[in-house]
Amino acid sequence: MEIKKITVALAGNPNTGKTTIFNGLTGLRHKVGNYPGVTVEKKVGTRKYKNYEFTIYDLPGTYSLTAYSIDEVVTRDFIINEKPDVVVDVLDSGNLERNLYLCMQFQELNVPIVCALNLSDEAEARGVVIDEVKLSKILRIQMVKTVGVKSEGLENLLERIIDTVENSNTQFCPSYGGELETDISEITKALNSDADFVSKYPACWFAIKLLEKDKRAIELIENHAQKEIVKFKTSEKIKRIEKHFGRDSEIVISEQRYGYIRGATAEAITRKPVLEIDMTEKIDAVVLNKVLSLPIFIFIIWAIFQLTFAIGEYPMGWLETIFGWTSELAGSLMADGLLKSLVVDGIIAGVGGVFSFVPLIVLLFLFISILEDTGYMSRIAFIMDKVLHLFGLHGQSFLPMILGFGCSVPAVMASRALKSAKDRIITVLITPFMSCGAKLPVHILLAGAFFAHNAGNIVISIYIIGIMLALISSLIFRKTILKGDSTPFVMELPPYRMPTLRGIFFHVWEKTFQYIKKAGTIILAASVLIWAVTTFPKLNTDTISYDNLKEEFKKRVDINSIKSEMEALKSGKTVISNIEEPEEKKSLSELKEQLIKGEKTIESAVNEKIEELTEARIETLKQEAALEYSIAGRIGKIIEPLVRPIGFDWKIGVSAVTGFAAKEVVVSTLGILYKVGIDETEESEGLRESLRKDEAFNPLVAYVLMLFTLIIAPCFATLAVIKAEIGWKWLGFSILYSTLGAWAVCFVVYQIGSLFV
Amino acid sequence: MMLEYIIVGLIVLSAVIILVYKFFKTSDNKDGKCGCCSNCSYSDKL
Repeated sequence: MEIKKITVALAGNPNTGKTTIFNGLTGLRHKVGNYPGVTVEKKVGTRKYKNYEFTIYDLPGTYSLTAYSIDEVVTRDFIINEKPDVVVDVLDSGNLERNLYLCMQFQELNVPIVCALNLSDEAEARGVVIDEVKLSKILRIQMVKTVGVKSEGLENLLERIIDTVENSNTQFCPSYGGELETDISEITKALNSDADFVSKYPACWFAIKLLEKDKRAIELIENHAQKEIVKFKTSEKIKRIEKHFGRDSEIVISEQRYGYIRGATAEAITRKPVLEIDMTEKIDAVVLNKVLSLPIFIFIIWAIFQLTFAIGEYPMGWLETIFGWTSELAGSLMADGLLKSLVVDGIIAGVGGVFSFVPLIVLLFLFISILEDTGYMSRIAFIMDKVLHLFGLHGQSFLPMILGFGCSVPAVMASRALKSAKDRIITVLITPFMSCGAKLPVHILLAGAFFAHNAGNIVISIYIIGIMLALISSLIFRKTILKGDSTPFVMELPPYRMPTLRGIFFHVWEKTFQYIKKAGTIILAASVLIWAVTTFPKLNTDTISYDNLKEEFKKRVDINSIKSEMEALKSGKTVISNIEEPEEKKSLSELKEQLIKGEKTIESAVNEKIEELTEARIETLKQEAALEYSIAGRIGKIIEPLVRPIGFDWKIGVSAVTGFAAKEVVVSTLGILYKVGIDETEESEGLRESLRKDEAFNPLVAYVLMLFTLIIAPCFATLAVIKAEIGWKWLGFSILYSTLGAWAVCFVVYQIGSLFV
Repeated sequence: MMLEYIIVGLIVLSAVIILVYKFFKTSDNKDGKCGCCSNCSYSDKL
């Protein structure tokens, strides 16, 4: 039998569960969140059912079809231009009056509609009983009750879609009553004089848009064959409406729509009294309390970071040990040469460094997913709204900012939901200051290495600095290049929902999988390239004589201190059991035994130690000379004068800059560069230990490097999206602002910090 | 020795190709994804 194709557009208000319905219908796993604005782009999926193949588009959530924000335009243009066979309007059954407003606009557009009365279980629990058959008859739209998270009612929804497509009744425009109806029909008549025009834009809908003074409709009317007549009629009718009602025509139309909806819902909805205060209100009474809200929010974020570090430290240590063993194993199996160096110093050091952070990524996203799915994330936006307004930001900007903690790419795209162009530009410019998931490994590495007992607090301080910089930047932009007031914002607070294990699992899996995938592609490739630029051109260190340096170094060694170390070891003053490193412990025990048995004298042990230290020092000097001779070394030396004032030597400078490919690459580069100077026994100690032992690093430099990674221009993927969203000019500005800003902030912190450290 | 240089050269070249490909893929977005995460499906249409 022939398969019939049906195109379905899934639309509706934000946070009504469209993406859940989409995932349920198509079997796909797109991100779902209990906060508005998750979908900023249309997504497509397919479903076969009976003899039909459905192509389903998940459109961004909108409250209306006016041309105020980009997502409203996306939805509207898609329905007008792509002409789907049916629009499925996903409604929140608990807020039907507000949700039906968009539905009315679809009806004006004269497209076949099916309404999914979603979240019907929640509505019923709150005492809202909907007679969907009655409502369906009044509004002349097929209605189906659904519960997206439980996949209830989805087959019935597919049946209704088929029925609507097969028996589509067209040409029904909702009646707004009385004289307004006459006004609409007169403009409709004038529009009908151009058949081509009305074939593109439904006349009834277009007439209403003209009365609403819709900007896009006013532009489009210039293409109408009888544009002067239409314009005259419109202006005449608007004047009449405004005189008659004493209000703006747009408000009058909107009131009429709500009137129509109220009439319909009064017939079809009954509300049972619910005695107990609902759970959402109880929780909100505490978490949105004027005094308690901010401390609760700060405590939750603090607790998340503390827990992530406390629990994550163990599996991270195991992974580091595994990579240490892998490195030693590969080193012992492969013959010395370029290939061994590439595998051990390039691939294992670079990718291994990034892989070790997987447990922390899993934990952090687990906690964030719980916040998102319960609905607390929306409360955070609500709590922050007042603060944001002080800095000239739109409350809605907080949603892209929150997404920015995950990845800047979707965060920049989420700014589309903002209606004003200035608000949008400001949001795009400040979003990269939110510390994204890719910057987290850099912070964890450096905080773990230099602030072991306060790692969680140090990382939180970086996040807070990121937020502060974003707010201050917004204020600067608002007062200078993007002058104007922030527009008011009504934040929707969804009810609290118990997160499902499945939902949480998919969120965490998705993030972890992407992280691992990135480590296996971009970071692997970048590690190989960084190894190549740190290895070539090769310097033949055998031809260089280090004899003079050897003698010089031997003279500078503090013989007395080594001698007293040996004496302490022999007399048992040195407690070997306190030494953590097993290799060091073993060699010291052996030496102690030899000293006690008289196999070695103190003098011979001191001479051996001096020889050992000299050889290690010369080996380090050789490797450093080879590194400085390489391409990376030469580039590093060129940029060194620029990064010296912020406390970096050329190696840290090169590491910081490689973050352009992906921020995790900073860790890979450090892993490759700091393999230099580490002798065989220390190789398994991991990168943290190597950094701690390096002379160029100290806690202040480590903190400045974290700040630099936070503020400097984002990775190229984000830059590509910024260019697409706000154009070349603003992209250039964004790169310049963040790079100069990073340098300036780091300069101030390093110079002031140097006074105390 | 020569063979080792050839193998290493090929691996480095593949790495460069991967990075260049990823860069242009992101700039073009013709397949609708930047490959950075799965949250977006960026499209030129917008």
